[in-house]
Amino acid sequence: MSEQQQKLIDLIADMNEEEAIKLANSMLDSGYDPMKLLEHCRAGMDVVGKRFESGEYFLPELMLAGEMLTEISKKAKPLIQESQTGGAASTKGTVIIGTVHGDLHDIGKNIVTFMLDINGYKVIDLGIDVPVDTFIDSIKEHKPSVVGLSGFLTLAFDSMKETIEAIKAAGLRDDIKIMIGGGQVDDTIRDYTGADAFGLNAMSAVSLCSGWIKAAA
Amino acid sequence: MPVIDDFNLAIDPDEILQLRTVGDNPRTRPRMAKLVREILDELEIQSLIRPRATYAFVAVTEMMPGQVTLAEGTVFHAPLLTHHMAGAAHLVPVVVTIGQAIDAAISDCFARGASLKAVLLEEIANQFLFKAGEHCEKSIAATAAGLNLQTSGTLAPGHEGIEFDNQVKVLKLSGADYIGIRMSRTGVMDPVHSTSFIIGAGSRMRYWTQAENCQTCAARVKCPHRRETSAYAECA
Ligand code: B12
Ligand code: SF4
Repeated sequence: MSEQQQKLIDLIADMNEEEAIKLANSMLDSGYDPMKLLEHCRAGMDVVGKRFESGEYFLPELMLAGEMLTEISKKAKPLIQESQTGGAASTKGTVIIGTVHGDLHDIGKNIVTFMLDINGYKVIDLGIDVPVDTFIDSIKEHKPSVVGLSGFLTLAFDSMKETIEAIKAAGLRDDIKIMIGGGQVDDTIRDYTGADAFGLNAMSAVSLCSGWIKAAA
Repeated sequence: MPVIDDFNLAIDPDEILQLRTVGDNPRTRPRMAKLVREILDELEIQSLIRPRATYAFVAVTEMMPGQVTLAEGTVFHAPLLTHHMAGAAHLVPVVVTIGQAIDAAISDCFARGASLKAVLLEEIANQFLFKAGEHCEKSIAATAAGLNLQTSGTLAPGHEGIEFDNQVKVLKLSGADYIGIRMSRTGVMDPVHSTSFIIGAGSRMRYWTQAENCQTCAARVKCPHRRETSAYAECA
């Protein structure tokens, strides 16, 4: 890895917003491959994610690093599209997410959505208090690789179970992975609901999706 | 239904910056401090915080362990309530909201990718809602005092020992629709930044702070809003 690449990663990881954006812009201006540049940004983001998971960083740092990535992507993505023949920049996969019916808590879900988005996933956010049928219709329409169910109320665990059972009954379960998360969610709840995995935070949501999508490729 | 709308809510930027969720990274601190101040100014200029509350004093006809029956027929199944509010002559269901405008502002920030601002706006909105709840508590205590009644601390449906399935009853009794709160079949309130609780009123009531509620809360281990008993707590 060149010194410049490492510098970009460090600037992002250390929350040096202005310098990171300046360096990324100058790299792009001098013809640096925009796809590779975004990979370095994601490497910086990974460091931030690890620091967040270890308790060194808090949500604001995670959000700020995400915003740096969004800002840099604004310039990089059109360049990627230009270089690809007639197509939009590819995404890693589609994820449908929502706060299950009976629950309204959406801060965690919104953060997960944002983190998946900046990590290259196409995310369809169905909002809060999402009825089972809305999940089913959306899965049929968008054919996602992953469905994410969020919930903080105890009663949301039943809604998650109900949603997953309905997805199964509709014959759609085998084609997708389902992850759940929110406040008290743990492996016992995962087992109860029939989900494939649970995520403690937004970074684990990203790791789960990338693990599954890599395995399917 | 009595409506409370004489709120005079104010938040000092430091109250937000010292929250555990905000962290203390020296590199991001100045940016956060600036953003919090900007957000608070924006909320004031655009009047995005629109608090309103409503409540009702409802007479208790029977209270036994785990179950309380009210004069108009409502029955609450809630062991914590009957334990903490034993001796209450009235229960006072309360619902408070800070309005729809803030929900829209937060969604807009997330949609624009301004996620740091969105997360801070959320923290600020929740703090305003907690403060609005505290104001209601004081206002209801003053009304009760006028009737020679003491008031207890608060209990919110969803807390351990007062299951969430009591929520619909609380919202109906307090007159949530009267202040424009819509309720889904399962009791989810729109605007999102709304909360409900019950206060007990009687000739001799024990008062407790939210910090005591934190002691019996399953979320306490991971909860960044948790308060220790020496301090006042806030909770959804
Ligand atoms: C903030 C909050 C609110 C806010 C919600 C604002 C909003 N936009 O969501 C307000 C103040 C409005 C609120 C209201 C209510 N709340 Co509330 N609330 C909370 C609180 C304090 C924090 C929840 C939160 O958002 N945390 C922030 C996020 C970022 O935390 P996080 O868990 O780290 O998030 C990560 C993970 O969960 C994960 N994740 C999340 N989703 C997903 C999904 C997937 C797929 C994956 C992989 C990962 C993942 O990634 C996230 C990001 O890293 C909790 C208590 C607590 N400590 O959890 C109570 C809590 C959830 N609320 C509770 C209750 C009961 C209510 C009310 C019903 C109270 C009432 N009686 O009115 C009301 C309902 C309001 C309505 N409109 O109907 C209870 C639920 C109890 C229960 N077990 O059922 C709790 C636990 C408090 C308590 N102990 O009483 N609440
Ligand atoms: S502030 Fe946290 S610990 Fe305290 S009652 Fe609310 S959710 Fe539980």
